[in-house]
Amino acid sequence: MNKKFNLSIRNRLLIQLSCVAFAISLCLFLITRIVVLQAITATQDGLLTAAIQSVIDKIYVVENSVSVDLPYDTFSLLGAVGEDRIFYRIDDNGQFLTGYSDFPMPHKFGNIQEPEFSNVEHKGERLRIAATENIVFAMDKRHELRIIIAQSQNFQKSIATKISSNLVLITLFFFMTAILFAFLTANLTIKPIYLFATDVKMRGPNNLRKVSSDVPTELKPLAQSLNEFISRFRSTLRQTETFIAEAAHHIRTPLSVVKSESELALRKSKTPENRERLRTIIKSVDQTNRSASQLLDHAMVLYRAERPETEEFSILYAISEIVTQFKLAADLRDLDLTFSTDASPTQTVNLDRTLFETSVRNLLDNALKYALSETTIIIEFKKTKHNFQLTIKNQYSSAPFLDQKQLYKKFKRGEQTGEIIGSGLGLSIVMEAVSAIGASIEIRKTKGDIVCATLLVPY
Amino acid sequence: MKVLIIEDTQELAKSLRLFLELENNHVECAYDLATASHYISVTHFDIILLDIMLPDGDGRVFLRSVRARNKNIPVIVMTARSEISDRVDLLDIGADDYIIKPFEFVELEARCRAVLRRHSGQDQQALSYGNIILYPLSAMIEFGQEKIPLRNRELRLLEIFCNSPEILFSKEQLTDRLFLISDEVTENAIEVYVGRLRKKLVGSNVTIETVRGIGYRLVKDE
Amino acid sequence: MRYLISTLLIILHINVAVALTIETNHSYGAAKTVSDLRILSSTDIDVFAPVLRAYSALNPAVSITYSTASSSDIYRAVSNAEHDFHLIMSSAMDLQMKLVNDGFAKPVSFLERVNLPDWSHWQNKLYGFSLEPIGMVVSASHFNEGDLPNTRRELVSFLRANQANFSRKIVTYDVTSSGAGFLFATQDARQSNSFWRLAEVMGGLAPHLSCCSGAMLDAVNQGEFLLAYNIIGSYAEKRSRLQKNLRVIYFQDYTHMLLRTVFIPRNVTNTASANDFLTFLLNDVGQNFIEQETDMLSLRSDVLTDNPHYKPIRLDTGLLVYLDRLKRQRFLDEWSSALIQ
Repeated sequence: MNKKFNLSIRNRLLIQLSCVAFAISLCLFLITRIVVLQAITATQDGLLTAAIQSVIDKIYVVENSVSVDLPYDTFSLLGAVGEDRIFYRIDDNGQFLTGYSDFPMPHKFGNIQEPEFSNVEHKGERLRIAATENIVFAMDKRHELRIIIAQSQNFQKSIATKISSNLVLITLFFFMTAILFAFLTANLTIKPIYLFATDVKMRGPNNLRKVSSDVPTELKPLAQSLNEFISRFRSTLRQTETFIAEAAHHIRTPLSVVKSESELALRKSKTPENRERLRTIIKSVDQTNRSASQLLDHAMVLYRAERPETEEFSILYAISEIVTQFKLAADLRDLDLTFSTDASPTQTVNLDRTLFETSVRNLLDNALKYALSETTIIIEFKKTKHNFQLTIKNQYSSAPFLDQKQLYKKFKRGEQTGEIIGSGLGLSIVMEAVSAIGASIEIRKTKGDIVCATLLVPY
Repeated sequence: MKVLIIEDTQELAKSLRLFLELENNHVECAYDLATASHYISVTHFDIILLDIMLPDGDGRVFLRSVRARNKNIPVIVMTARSEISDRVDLLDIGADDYIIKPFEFVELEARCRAVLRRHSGQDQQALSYGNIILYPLSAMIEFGQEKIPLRNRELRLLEIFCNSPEILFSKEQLTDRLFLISDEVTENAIEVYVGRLRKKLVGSNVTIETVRGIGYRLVKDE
Repeated sequence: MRYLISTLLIILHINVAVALTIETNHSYGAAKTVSDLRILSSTDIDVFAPVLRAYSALNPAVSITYSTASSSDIYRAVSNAEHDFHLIMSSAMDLQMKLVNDGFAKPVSFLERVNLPDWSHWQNKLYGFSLEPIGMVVSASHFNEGDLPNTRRELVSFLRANQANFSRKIVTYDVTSSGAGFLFATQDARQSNSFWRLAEVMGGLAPHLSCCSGAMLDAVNQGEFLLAYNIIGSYAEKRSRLQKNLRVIYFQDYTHMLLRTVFIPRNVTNTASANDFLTFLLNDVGQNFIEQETDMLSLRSDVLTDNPHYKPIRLDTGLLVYLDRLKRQRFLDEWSSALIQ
């Protein structure tokens, strides 16, 4: 994989903006430098033009020849600024007149107003040459004077160096500023994306709300497809739940017909043989129903455990409601339910309520099922330093040998549970549900066949 | 007592009807919501047993519309759905109680009784026979200056006798009405409860009389 | 006129190869067959010897040869690259300037930081190391104290008033043969138009033209001549201590200061000894020594600040102008017509 693909958008943006800033800085530097060099060259050319003009001023005619009285101050000035070397040469009608005879003549010459400028390398020095042609008549003889003045470029070089170093500083400053702005721009640009990503990330795996539509235009398609996916996913989930519920319906409805028919027959039946047969049928129906229900419940718990829907609710209220619902079932078995608590109804927890209630309901269901007739089931709800504690104590009709590991194994029932109907899935469901909501459970057998189940729910 | 059963599974509806009629109730069956709506618009019912999934709609929608019309009829929902999904919202939308199919008649009877008691409030009628008064809600009998608490099954047994005094009940009849089939009881278990009741009734002018080979009945002392 | 042409030929080195004529040779420091530091100079040994002795005392292991020659000989030798000297010293600033401009010098890299006035050097090649005012020397016995002129204008008036006394009694450089004389005269001409008036006046008095300052000073001292114009101050001061009749006058309208200059020629391969000597010569130790122990003035001499009319001859490319063939010809023509009447 190309490593570059792992770069964050922010860093990419930063790199791109920095590259642009660098390119602009470089251009700025080069262009300014060129402009400065041109300005310096123009200055030098102006100086050379003035020099050539003052030399031409000093051309005079003696008898039938031409002579030049070189101006001292002009030459003094030419070399004064940058201590530049000076070469000059004057030719008269193609014949060397004065100056440096070994200095090569250029090919083009300008006029007195606009000398021709060129660059040449001479005696190890780079020189700027001004060349002018001037015509003088002496005794009707035409004298074509070619004048060149050449100057080294120390001054230009030193100025250029000075300006360049300043320019480097300015460019660097510009570049740094640009980088700073690139940084800010990258952050500003990335902010909506970051907020969007955070929104999606923070919601957790089970929050199936639509994502906010308040995103930059560029992110709209992403938000849209995300929302479409979420709603599809939601409907799939709903279908799964519906499927489980439907399955229960389709199993239970025929069972309930069989059961009520049998029970009706039982009520009308007089012979002990018939009654026993009908009882057996009804018990089998109950057994079948219970197994099917628990399997479906188990499926639902597993499914929910994967995506718990947390909500805030009063834990005490939830528990006491369940206890109330069990009152009738307890009455039918001639069992007493006592519920005591020191907690306040305002204390809330934030977890999947269905899973929590399933845990409590299954624990109570178990307690009721195995409790010795005409005993009391003691339910206590306490708030301790670290968690909420729900304790359910009941006296077993025939206390099973409690092996903690065996207890929760699916389809493995406690020993000596005798004829009591159950698939053995009850506690297993409780375990799944309990661990899904981050709670824990403890089941102990104490003296006098008392079994004590404690559910520990964190705040 | 007039009961409306709204249930699309006709076999179940019929057996429920037979059972309830055994208990001297007047029962109507509706196999869909349209029929049910018709019934409750023309007749008064003491209680409605409502199935959730019906051919022409959702029982919960029906329940909501009944409650919206301020009908204060006790409603027990019979549901065959998953135990986890439905419970809470059934109560939220106005069911007085629910019962999960398949259920035992004893449980249905108990729930009906409980719901009806809640609806009639504190001024529920006490049952009396001879010099005893039975308070089902507080599970007490009173005679003379004495108030004696009863356990649940004792109360249920005495309730059966008081509702039909001097009527003879077979052991089987009493067992079927007192115990759940899932409870592991023998046919003789009823004798234990009869024995306990007799002890608690000592000092009153009623007795549970044993009719050998047939069953028991409640009689006043002459 | 023969003089003039030959000088021209030498200066413009038109194909005439004449061997370098060494006038004197002096050695300092350790005796070696080949000296470590060879200096070619136009400065008399008498003037420069203290500096060499001082340097040698600090660096006894270095053997030094100091050779003197005329400034025009030096120019020719260097421009033909026919020498093996490490340092070229000359009082002819214009010739030195031309040599450096034409590329015969090497950049100097000092061994330590030296603090020099900007006007005293050109690029990092040609360095002035001493200042000497150019003045007039008179025979004191022939002047009344109050008659001594302080400016060239006064001199002109004085000479006009005393034509009889000064006829054939004035001596000055023959600019056609003396490089230093040419420099002084051209700088005079450049500085002020009064020079040509003075030249005319002196020309009317049939001046004697001499090649060398030593001879001029001897003659003035003996009263053979009463006035010598454009004499290097250091010579005159030195002589005046022994020859009591000599009186040095520095004009107040302006007094040019000669800058003796030195450079390392291009063909020197090992510049170490030359760099070392230049560092000594130009740093505070060397400059203080020149100021205090020689007849020359240092570059930072107080004389400059005390006397605003003392003007160092500017070390710049203007010096090239009078070396131009036509310009020089024109100047010499005018000078000759003024002085040789």
